[in-house]
Amino acid sequence: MMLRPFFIALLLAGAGFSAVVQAAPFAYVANEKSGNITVIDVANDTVVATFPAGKRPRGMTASRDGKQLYVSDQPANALQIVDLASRKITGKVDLGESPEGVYRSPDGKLLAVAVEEDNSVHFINTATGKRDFQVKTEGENPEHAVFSRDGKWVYVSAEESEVVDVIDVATRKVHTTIKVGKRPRGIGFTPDGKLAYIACELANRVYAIDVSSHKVVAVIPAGVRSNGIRVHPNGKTVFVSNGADGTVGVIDVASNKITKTIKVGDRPWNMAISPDGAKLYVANGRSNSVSVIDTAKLEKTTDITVGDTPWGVYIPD
Amino acid sequence: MNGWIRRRMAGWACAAALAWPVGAVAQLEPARAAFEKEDYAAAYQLYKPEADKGAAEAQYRVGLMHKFGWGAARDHGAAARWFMAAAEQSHADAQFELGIYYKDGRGVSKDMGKSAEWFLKASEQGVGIAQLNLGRYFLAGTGVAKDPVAAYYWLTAAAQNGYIDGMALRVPAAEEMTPEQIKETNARAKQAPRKAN
Repeated sequence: MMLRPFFIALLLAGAGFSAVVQAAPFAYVANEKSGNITVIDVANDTVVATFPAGKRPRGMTASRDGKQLYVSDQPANALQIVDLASRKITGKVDLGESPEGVYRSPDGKLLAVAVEEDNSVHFINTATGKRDFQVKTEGENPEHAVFSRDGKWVYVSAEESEVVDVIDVATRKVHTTIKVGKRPRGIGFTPDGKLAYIACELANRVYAIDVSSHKVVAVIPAGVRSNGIRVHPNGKTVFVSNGADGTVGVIDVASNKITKTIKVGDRPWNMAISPDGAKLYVANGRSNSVSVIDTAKLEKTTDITVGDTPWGVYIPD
Repeated sequence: MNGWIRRRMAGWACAAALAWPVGAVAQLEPARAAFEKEDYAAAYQLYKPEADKGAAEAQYRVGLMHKFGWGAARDHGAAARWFMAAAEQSHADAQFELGIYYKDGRGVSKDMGKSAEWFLKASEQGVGIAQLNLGRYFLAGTGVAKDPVAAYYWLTAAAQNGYIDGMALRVPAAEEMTPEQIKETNARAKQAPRKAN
């Protein structure tokens, strides 16, 4: 039939399009006030799509197979589940009041969601899509709840305390609580799992913690209102965003010192790194933009306009 | 007792009274140093006797150590008692901690009214995070009557103290205020209490 080649071509085109949507590395930017997510093609730093993602999207992480994006939606008190092929919300998980940071375990089986007003971390089973358990934190108003590289611990920053809670995932309890500086926020682990870095916003400092002992081993002066943390895949560099300065500081892990400061947009916050480590993406909450930094040259290369009040950037690995 | 001896004793009593606060602070210094080094077991041993004697800072620190299990058993009941002892002596951070405890029902029965009372005391001493919490309470009518002007004031104060969330949080309060109220409250908030971070 004459139409057969047409339909075959159509099928092939659709498969090709779907492959492009799923295969290309994309950076997802959660825009708190516009209630949507901007999709940036990491290959050429252009916006390719914007899709609705609840009322106030903030933290994000993807399933291990890259097919779903989990997005915390603050007023909905829920985790929205987005199908990345269609870029549509296909489900949700009800949580407590005001969920924020969302992180996936290294084996992909669990998500940890920091729920601010509950003072707890909810652990979601990715296979069932339901909450397996929750752990009350000792610190007040948890923001980020990040798995250690071996998945054994979850470090939780408590915005309204000066502590990081360490949750033992196996026992489902707070194992210990580490004193840090005022208003701990972003957390990152080095690839070898030995160190964790926590930015303390009102202390203007980054705390380096030895994960084997859960003890502070270095306190690094950072810029004003240091808050976001991103560790480079090579384990040699940690990036810290300084909200009041509008800069990103570069920490050399070997010396635990800031070696360079890079100007970005207004109120830089949570960041992501491309899978090859070549580019750092910085959400600028007051500029409604994302700054892109070349991590080899340590220079900003461009600013990308996104939605209203971007909270952070996430790039699936 | 002759007048000379009486005068000397009065002089020694005055000197002792003046020296006591300095002495008390000096006694806490080794405890503080141990705490900062995270030698919590030593810090607890040093702070506890001073807490027993009534030193508010020591009581607050002992409370923290029981709250987080640092050098002491994690015991929210004990922590609440120590925070209360310090808070009643106007220790600002202890007042904030007590506000949190009443908010969460930790170590004490949950009571939003009492939480608000302690947040107010801490706020009046410039504790920024207490101001943020209090502002939220006035916005929502939690533990206090809903009051957008008070909410706006305390959230602005919190933002000035570094908790910039206060600026966004006060927007709904501003929507219930007149332009004159906003202007007057902004002016008042410039004089709001601040505590060094």
